[in-house]
Amino acid sequence: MQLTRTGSIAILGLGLLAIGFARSARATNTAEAAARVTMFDEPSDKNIGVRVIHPQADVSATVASTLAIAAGYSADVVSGATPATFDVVSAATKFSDTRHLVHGGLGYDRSDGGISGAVAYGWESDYKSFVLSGNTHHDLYEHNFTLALAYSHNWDTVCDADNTAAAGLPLDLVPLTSSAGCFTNTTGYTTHPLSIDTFEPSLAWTMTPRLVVQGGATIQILDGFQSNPYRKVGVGSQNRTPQEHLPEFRQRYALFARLSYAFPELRGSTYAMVRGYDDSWNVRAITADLVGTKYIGQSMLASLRAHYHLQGGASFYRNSDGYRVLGPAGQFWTGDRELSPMGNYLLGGKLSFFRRPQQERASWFVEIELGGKYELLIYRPESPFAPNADRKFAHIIQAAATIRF
Amino acid sequence: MPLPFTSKHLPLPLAGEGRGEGKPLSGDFRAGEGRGEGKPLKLSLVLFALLVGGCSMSKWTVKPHQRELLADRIMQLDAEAQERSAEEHVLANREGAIGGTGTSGGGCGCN
Repeated sequence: MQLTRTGSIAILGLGLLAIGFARSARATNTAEAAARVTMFDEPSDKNIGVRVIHPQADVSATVASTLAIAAGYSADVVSGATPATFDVVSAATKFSDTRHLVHGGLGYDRSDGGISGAVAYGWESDYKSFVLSGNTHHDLYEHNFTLALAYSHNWDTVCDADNTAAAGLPLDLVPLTSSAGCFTNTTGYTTHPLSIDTFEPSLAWTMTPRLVVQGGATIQILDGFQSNPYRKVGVGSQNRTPQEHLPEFRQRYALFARLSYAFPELRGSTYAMVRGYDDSWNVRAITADLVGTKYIGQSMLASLRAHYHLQGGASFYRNSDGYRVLGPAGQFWTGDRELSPMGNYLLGGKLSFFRRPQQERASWFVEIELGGKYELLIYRPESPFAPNADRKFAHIIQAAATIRF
Repeated sequence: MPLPFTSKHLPLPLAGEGRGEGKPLSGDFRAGEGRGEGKPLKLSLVLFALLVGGCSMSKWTVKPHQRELLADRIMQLDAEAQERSAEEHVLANREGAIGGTGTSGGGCGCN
């Protein structure tokens, strides 16, 4: 894994912050420092596939029981090849990139509710993102209900090839070939804004001493350039390969229900989630998650997870064969797997170990937790002509360490 | 951090226990049967009273001393924020849907 100098400085800064937080925690309440590395490995039948290393480092502390502060850094170190496709012109090319994200937040908590705000800034060679978010929650009826509202706004900027010459004709749009000149006023490059508003209300209900349920909705509105600037799509029988062309406006809606149920006889619990999704591009999906967790002995926690996702395609989606034979379905076209009809299955497990100091012995920590996780994500594309059909599955491997002071 | 799920939790009563004591709630509905007039209004009033008052009725709520299980990390809907962030990051890039992960502050009321 190659982290840039910026990433190393960010991690060092977070380390110093963690020490500061730990010291403040001794005089106040609690503090936590957590580090996690996730490897996402997606092999391909046709090329080297894609590998993403995702390190995360976070510190947080609660001061005077009411004020919470948090800061963190994460990165995506991406390397691999673009997906192989059935049209001969889209040969896979190797690429690598690193995305950085720093974030910080403040929160104020009372006995019956709280409010928090956070800011995040992410950057990579061809994309910049600035996010402000706010969250409030309030307990009702003797803490048996919790009403929560969350809102965030993104001010994102996307690098693209300068397509002024296309004069608004989508079939003449040229894809970006390299990010080398992005954000530098270099001729042949331009940038597009993308704003994202996300609103998520939810209501949780503590139904019994063993059962918590939650229902809620997610509403997201995107306005701006949403195509993959590098992606080209074979359209028609004349070997035209314009840049992917997506609508600039998208409304996304989700309704979800979640529950957590305790099995004290087994020293375990189960978590379940079901979600229905619809959007203005006509992508409809249903998703379910099921997790079983169990304590083993006094210092180990094991969990198993199953996840299922099934979705329909966007109204303008056709597979590579359909675009070639029938042409585009309207004025938009895509080569994005996430806009195609498909299904995902995920199965995995996680083990965590805890170490707490023995009672009556002074210690510099309250708890140390070490964990490891493996998950297998299996894709079910709609046909061999679907985007990324050369990639049948992905491995997700994760290691984590948390110290609570 | 409470001790994880020890056997002392087993005798905990469920919130619903005791709901059947006394006169059944359906008795209120039977009282209006056969009269016809005003039935929808009475039904609405009873439902409204149940919705508004029911939540604060002590035997319908989970008391602070009954929340030991709920306070454990494995019962928190939004525990492990860092892990959840990594999961969302993966799935948001491999699925065409978003949402459903909930907002923070859900459920326990353990403050």
